[in-house]
Amino acid sequence: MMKRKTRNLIQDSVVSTVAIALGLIIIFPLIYCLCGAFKTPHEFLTPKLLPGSFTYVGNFKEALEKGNLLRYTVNSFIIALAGTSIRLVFSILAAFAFAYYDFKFKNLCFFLILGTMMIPADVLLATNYLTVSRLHLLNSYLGVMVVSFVSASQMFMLRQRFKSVPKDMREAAQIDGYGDISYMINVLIPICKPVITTLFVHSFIALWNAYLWPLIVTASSPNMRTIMVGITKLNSWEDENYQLVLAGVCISLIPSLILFVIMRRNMKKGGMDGALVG
Amino acid sequence: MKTRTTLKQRQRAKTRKKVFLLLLPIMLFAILFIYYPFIRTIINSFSLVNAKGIIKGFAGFDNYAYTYGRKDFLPALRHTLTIAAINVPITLFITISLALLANKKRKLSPVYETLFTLPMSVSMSAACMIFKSMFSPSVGFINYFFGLKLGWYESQETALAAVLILTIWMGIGFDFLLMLSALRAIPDQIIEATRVDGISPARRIFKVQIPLISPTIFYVLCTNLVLAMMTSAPMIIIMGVSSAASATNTLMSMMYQSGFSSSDYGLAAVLSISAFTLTLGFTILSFVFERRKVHYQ
Amino acid sequence: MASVSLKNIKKIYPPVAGERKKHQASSDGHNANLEKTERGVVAVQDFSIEIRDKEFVVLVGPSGCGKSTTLRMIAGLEEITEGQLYIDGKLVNELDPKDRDIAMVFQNYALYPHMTVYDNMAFALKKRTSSKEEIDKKVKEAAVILGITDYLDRKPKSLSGGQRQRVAIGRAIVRNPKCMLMDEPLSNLDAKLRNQMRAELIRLRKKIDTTFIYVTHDQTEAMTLGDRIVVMKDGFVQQIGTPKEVFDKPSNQFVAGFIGTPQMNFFQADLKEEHGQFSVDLDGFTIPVVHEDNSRMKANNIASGPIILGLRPDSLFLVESKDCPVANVGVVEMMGTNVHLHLEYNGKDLILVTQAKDEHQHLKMDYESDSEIHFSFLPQSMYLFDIETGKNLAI
Repeated sequence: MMKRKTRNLIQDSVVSTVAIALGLIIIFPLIYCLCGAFKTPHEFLTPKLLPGSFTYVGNFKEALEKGNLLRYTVNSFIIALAGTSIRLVFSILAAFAFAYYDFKFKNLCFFLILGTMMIPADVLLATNYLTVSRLHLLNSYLGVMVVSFVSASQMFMLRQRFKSVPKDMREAAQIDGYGDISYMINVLIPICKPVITTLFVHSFIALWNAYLWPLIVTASSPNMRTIMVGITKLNSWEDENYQLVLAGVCISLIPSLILFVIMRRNMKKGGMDGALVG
Repeated sequence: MKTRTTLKQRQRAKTRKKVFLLLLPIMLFAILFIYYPFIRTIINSFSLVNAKGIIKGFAGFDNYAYTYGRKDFLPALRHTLTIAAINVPITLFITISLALLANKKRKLSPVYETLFTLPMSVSMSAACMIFKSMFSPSVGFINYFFGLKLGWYESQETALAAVLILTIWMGIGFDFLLMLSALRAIPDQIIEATRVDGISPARRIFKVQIPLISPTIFYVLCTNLVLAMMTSAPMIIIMGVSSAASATNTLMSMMYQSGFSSSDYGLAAVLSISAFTLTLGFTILSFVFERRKVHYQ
Repeated sequence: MASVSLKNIKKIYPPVAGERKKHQASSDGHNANLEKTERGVVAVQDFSIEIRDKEFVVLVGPSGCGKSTTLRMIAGLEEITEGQLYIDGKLVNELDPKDRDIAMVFQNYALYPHMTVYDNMAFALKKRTSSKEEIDKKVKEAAVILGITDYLDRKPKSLSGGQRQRVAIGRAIVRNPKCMLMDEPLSNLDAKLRNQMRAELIRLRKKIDTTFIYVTHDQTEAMTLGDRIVVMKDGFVQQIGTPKEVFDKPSNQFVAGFIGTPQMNFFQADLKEEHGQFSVDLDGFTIPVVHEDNSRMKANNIASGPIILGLRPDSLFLVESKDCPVANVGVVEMMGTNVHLHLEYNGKDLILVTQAKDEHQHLKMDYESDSEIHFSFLPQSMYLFDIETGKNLAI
C-alpha cells in the first residue's frame, strides 16, 4: 500500500511540475510583456528578458499621458459598462417573455434571435459602419456599443435559468399581489443573481476587449478611441517604442485579468454551465 | 358568457402588449444591426455601390468576377485556408493534451489550470502588440532567444507563421477549459472499469476518453474553423493597413482594406459573403463528418 | 373569514399542443380517465359546494382527480371554464388572485430563496400599503403563533423541512386572508413530522379564524382535519360530507375504498329477497340485511341479483365454526396493537385486522402461513354496492 501511495505521489508531482512548466511557457508572452514594460528605452535595445529593475515606471507614465491612455481607459470603461448593462437588460426582458408567455410567433421570434449567432460579426462590419454613420453616431460612445446590444447566447442562458425557477414561485408572488414585472424585479432577478453576475462579467470583458469595431467607428476622432485601439497606436513602423506599447498593454490587461480571476472562482462555485458557452 | 370572453380577450391583448414591449428592444437591434446588414451585404455584392455605400444599380455577378479576378484574391484565399488548416489541428492537439494532463485533480491543479486559461482574458489587440514586439526583428525576444536573424514580417511564410502562433495562442485558454470540463464529465465508473480491465493508459485515452469527448472536440473544431476563417485583426494590427501589407492578407483583412481604406463596398461585400459561404460550407461539411464519427452518450 | 361558494364549477383544458398548457393540466398528474369532449379534457365536472365561514373543508382524492385544479381555480391561478365562484358573496370569477383576498400554502412551500424568513412573510404585506410598524407587528405575531421567532433573520436554505413549512404557513396567515388555501402542504414532510404538523394544524386552526380549503391525497389527513370532506375522482365529486358521514355512509364503492385504512375488502355476492327481507349470500354463507338498510333498500326498489359486498378489515373476525367462509393465511403483519392478516379468499386478497393481544394480554401470533382459517362478520358491518354503478344501495 505504502509503495503504491508513494508511486502516486511521485507521479502527481512529476505531472504537476510538467504542467506548471508548460503553463509558464503558455503565459510567457504575458511575463514578457510585464518585464518589457519596466525596461528603460535604452534597456529595451538589448533583448534580454528581465529589466534592470521593476522600479522604472516612466513607460506607464508616458503611455498614460502622452499616449492619451488615461482618456482611452475612461472611454473603455464607459462603453463596457453601459454596453453590458443595456445588453443584459435587453436579454433579461426577452428571456422573460420567452420563459413566461405564450404568444403567436413565439418560436419564430426565438429562432430569429438565436439565428443571430450564426452570422459572424465581421461580415457585418461594412454595412453597420454605414448605418452608424447615417445615424450620426460615428465617434460616439453609443456608436461603439450599439452593435453589441444583442446577445442571443445571453438571452438563451437567461431563459433556461428562468425556466428552471419553479412555477410555484411566480404563483406565490401572484397571490402575494405582485404582477409580472414586479415579480421579475423583486423575485426572479434576485434569485438568478449568480447567473446574471457571471453574464455581466463575461460581457464586460468582451466589450472591454473589442477591437475592430471601435477602431472603425472612432477612426476620425482620436479622443474617442477605446484602450484596445489606443495601445495599437502607441508605436509605428518608424518609431518602435515597444516598452511604451507593453506598458500600455499591461494597463489594458488589468481589468480583464481581475474579472477573469473573479469569474474563475465563480465558475468553481456555481458550476460551469451558465458561465461558459457564450 | 359574454363578459368572460371579453375578459379573456382583454387579457390576451394585455399579454400581447407586454410581450411586444419585452421583445421590442432585442428584436429591433437584431434586425437593425444583424439581419439588415447581413441581407444588405448580400444585396451589395450583386449591386453597383458607390463610395458612400449607396446602391446605384444592379451589377449581376460583376462584383464577383471583378473580385475573383484580382491578383490579390487568390493569395488571400490561400492564406485564409492555410491559417484554418494549420490552426485547427494544432489547437486541438494542444488543448486535448493539456486537458488530459490536467484531468486528474491534484493539489496544484488550480495553479496550472489558471496558467492554461489565462490567455482567454487577453484581448486580440493586446496579444497582437505583445507578439509584434516579441517577433520584432531588431529588439524582439524570439530572434534573440533562438539565435535567429529572421525579419519576421518580410516574407509571406514567416509573417503567416507569426500570425498562426498568435491565433493558436489566443484560442488555447477557452478550448482547454471546454476539453477539461468534457473530460471531467466522463463518469468515474468508466475510467475505473478500464483500470479494472487492465487497459493501458494510451489505449484508454485513444479508445475511451477521446471518443467520449468527441462532441466537445467537434464543437471546438467548428468554432475554431469559423474563427480562423474570419481572422483579420492580426494582419490589420501587426502589418498595418497599407498596400504593402497585402502580402499576408486573408479574405477578411482584404475586406477591411477595401471597405474602410478604399470605400469599395461592392468588393467588401463580395469578400464578406465569400468568407461567410466558405465558413458555412466547412461547418456543414464537418456536420456531415460528425454524423459518422462523433459519439454522443 | 368568509364563505366560499362554488356553483357548477367546470374546468376544461382546451386540446392544444402547447407544452405549457399540458404542463398546467398535469399539476394533478396525468389521468387518462378524464372525460374528453370536443372542447378538451374535462378536469373538473360540475363542482358545487357552499363552504361556510370558518369552515375547514378538505378536498381529497387520488392524483388526477381535479382537487388541485379546483383549488387553483379558487385561488385564481387557473381560469374557471364554467360556473360561478363567490367569495364572501361576491362573484370573483374575473378577479386576479391578488384581488380575491386569499392566501395559499404551496406543496413545495415556494418560499423566496433570496429573502429572509421575515421578508418572506412581509413580502405580501408590503404590497398592501401596510405601514412599516404594522408589517412588523403582524409578522412578529405570526412568528409567535408558529414558533419561528428565532429564525426570522435566516434564509429558507438554512431551515429544516418542518421550519420551512411553518414559514410557508406564516406567510399565508400574516395577510389575515378571507380564505386559506392549502395544496398538499404536508406531503413533503417525513412521516413523523407529518403527524406532528397535522396536530399543529388542528391547534393552529383554533387560533386563526378563517375559512380553510385544504387539498390532500391522504385520507388520514382528510379525516382528522376536515369539518367536511369532498371526495373526488376523475373530475367528479363523489361525496361531500363530514368525516363520519363519509366513513359510515360512503355514497359509492370508490369512496368506501378510498376512505379508511387498511382498505375496505370487496366481495362478489348475491342479493336475495324473501318476503320483503333482503339477505346477502356470500358463496353459500347467508347473512340478513339489517332492518334500517332493508327498509331503505326497499324504498329504493332494489332488485335481487349480483352485488358488491364491502367489509372493512376490522369488521372481519376469526371464528372456529366450519360453516363460515374459509381463507388461506398469507402475509402476517404485526403492527403493534393490531395484526394485519393478508388472506387469500377464492383467489382474491383480503385483509383482516385483529387485536394482537387477547383479553389476558397474551400475544396471539399463532397464524401459520398457508393454514386455513375461518372468518365471519356482523350484519351491521356490511356495505352493499351496485355491481355496475358502484352506488351504495342502502342510502
